[in-house]
Amino acid sequence: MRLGRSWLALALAGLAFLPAVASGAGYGIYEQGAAVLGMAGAGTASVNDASAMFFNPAAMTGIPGTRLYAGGSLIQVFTSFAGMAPFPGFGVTEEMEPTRAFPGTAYLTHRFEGPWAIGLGYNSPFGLATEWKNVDQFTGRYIVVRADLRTYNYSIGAARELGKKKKLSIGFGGNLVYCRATLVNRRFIADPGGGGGQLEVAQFGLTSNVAPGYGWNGGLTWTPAKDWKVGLTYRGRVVNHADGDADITQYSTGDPQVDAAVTASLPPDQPASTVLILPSIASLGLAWHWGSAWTFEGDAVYTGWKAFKDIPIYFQNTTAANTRTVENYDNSLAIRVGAERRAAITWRAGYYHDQAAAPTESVSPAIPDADRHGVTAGFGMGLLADKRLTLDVYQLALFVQNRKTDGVNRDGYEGEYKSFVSSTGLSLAYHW
Amino acid sequence: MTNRKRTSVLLVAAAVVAVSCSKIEPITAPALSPGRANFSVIAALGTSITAGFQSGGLVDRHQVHSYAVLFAQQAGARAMDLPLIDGNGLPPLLEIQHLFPPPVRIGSIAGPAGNPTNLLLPTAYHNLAIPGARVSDVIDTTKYLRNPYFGLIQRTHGSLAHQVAEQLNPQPTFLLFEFGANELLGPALNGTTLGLTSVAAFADSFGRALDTLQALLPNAKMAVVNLPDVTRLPFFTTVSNKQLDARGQPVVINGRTQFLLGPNNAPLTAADQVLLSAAPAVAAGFGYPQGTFSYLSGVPVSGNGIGLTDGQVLSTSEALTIQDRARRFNAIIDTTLKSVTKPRDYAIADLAGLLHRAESPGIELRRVLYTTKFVTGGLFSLDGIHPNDIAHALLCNQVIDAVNKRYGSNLQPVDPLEFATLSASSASAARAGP
Repeated sequence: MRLGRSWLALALAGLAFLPAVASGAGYGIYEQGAAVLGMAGAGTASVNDASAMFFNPAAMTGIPGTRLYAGGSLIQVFTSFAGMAPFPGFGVTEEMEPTRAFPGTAYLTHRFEGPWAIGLGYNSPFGLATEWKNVDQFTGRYIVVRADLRTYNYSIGAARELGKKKKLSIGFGGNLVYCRATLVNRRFIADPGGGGGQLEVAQFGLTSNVAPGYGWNGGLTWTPAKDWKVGLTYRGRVVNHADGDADITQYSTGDPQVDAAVTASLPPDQPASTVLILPSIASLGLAWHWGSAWTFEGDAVYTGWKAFKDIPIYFQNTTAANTRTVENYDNSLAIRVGAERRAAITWRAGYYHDQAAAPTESVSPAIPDADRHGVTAGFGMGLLADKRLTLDVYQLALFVQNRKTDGVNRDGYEGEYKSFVSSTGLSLAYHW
Repeated sequence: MTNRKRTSVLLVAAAVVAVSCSKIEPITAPALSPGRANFSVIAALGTSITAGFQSGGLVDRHQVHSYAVLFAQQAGARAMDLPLIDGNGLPPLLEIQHLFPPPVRIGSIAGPAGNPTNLLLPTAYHNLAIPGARVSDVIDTTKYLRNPYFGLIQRTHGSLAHQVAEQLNPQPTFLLFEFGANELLGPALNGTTLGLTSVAAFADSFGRALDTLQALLPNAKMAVVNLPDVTRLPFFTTVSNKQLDARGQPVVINGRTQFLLGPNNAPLTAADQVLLSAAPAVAAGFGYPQGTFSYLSGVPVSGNGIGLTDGQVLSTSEALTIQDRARRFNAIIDTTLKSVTKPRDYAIADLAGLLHRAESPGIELRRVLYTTKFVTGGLFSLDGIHPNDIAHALLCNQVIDAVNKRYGSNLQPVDPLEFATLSASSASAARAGP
């Protein structure tokens, strides 16, 4: 019964907090727990709250009792673009609508008397929201007007201590990931008169239904010495086959004959589908406890972005209209380091470098991916006299390196992107 | 940490965040760096392509969009003097007279031919490209009288080489050089290989032209445009060699595709190419056996059982010969550059590769695919031979790329769609575009 209520709570959380923006490389979201984020996400080895369900399920064996950990982040993204030759040309600038999103998280773990622990979780490990200002004049509207990817990940996991000395724990679990994607852009055709001019003839929109995908995860923690801890976790790739609807709105060119030809050439509104790839993530962390007050951790997080090769759109009735946007991402590595000092208030700070996953050819107004430097700070404090309720807060300033397309963009949209991400989050933890 | 220090740290952090949140500044074009080249005065020698000949004629609205002129503009060179023709062009350009519903009807603009507007220019033109010119014409004046465009552009002022070196003030510092297509195109347009320039003759003329220019302009740098496989131009690929039904689909009887009748009333073979100039004949029923119908005109026309003439068809063997010759000419251009005994310092712009790419898979501009397809492909003018303004911009970028790589310059590419027009023979701006 209790578990049933928890699931209901998790489902409601999923509806309340819609993740909508990428603050990790590609379209990854690593904001999955305020305490670990205070240490720049370096928590694979040292995580000690219920967000272990995400950061390392094996660590659940080190968390006594029953723990509820829920929270969210306010992620704000500011992106702008300056054009270069040949298109859209020097002097042109574009600006994305400032994006604000609230990805939520909720985790519940329980440590049994024996070697076992179990957990449930809800989070949004991937997401993206792109919408450019002045879409009717936006020079990149042939690539994207609006893109939106939302993920809702429900997970269940278990962990077990191994050996008499309890130095090693393993964890594993399954993920049910629902995705919904929206992609809108404008379509142009060559003027049939042969002069090469382009006519803006339609808006294409694909909105997928919420589609499930399945994945698994595993992790281990190892305590080789009293003050040292090693953590390793892996979350498998999830592939979502998402059905939806293609909505094509034709624009008049002012020439009835051309309009008639365009009408004949455009696919009608119809069911359409796409395939969404949520890449695998492997993380290795090393934590050092210095006395009773300090913890330092460094993590290497490797994301299998190579799986993100393209964005296909399949039309059910007019297959000739199918499209495939090539992405060919590269795997990426993030290095995360953080420190925590425990006193009446626990203070945390960290830094991470997240390598861009998009090759230069694929950097586009849909996903202007770039290397990132994140600086975080946070604190945690007990709120009740018995300290059963604690609050963790973090602030992330993500300095995204400006990224140029170097004249090789696949869509011929050349220039430089500038982004900055601010993320503020809190989590409340309660333990029984 | 004292309060003052803490305040300072917070202020610095706030300033960093504020700067990071701000909108990016516009990027200004980088200052032109010529590298090892000098682009102050640019002159061009070449064929109808370099002249900006389109849709069957020369006219100012297209001459000013020749790749040579665009290149000079991007390079910041002195404005080029051009042998401009006004009005309807010389001869009057082709225009689309009917577009929808198919078939497309193309004809010459009704009205008088255009006139030269600066025929009395006392100096030579910077763009000395002449429709129909061959590489031998650079130094050999003996064939000038056969081609009226020499009278308009060369104007009996001496060889092209001497004009470009001695009749421009100041002297050119950079040359564009584009020859070879006419050595192949002349025979090909007549469906024959008779009159093709031999490889040895091309090599000799090409080498001597470069030697002469190098002697006359020892400090000038140069970009050489190689030559396209002319058999892949729309003039040779548009009219089907098959009998087509009312829906435009090949007629198949007993599993066998029915080809048009060719010379001696023999059926054409799969790789024979029917020339665009044969389209009126095919529309009139030529090439169709009796009892069949040609629908090319939009209405059924009974086949007259008379095969197309040899001059209306480029046979498989003829096409292969011309293609092989084009490869050999381009090899000469390539090896002349890399010659160990007589090294030359010029860039090679790959027009052949550009045409090949345009044919398949096509060239994407803002997710619209441009191809060599006649009229609707968006890259060729209405004569099916010459590039339109967009294609000139693409060629300009090809030259810029080659020059930047060769000389270390930083010339910026042009946006091809800036040169889009409503139709292939029009100067009207395109109706829309991002």
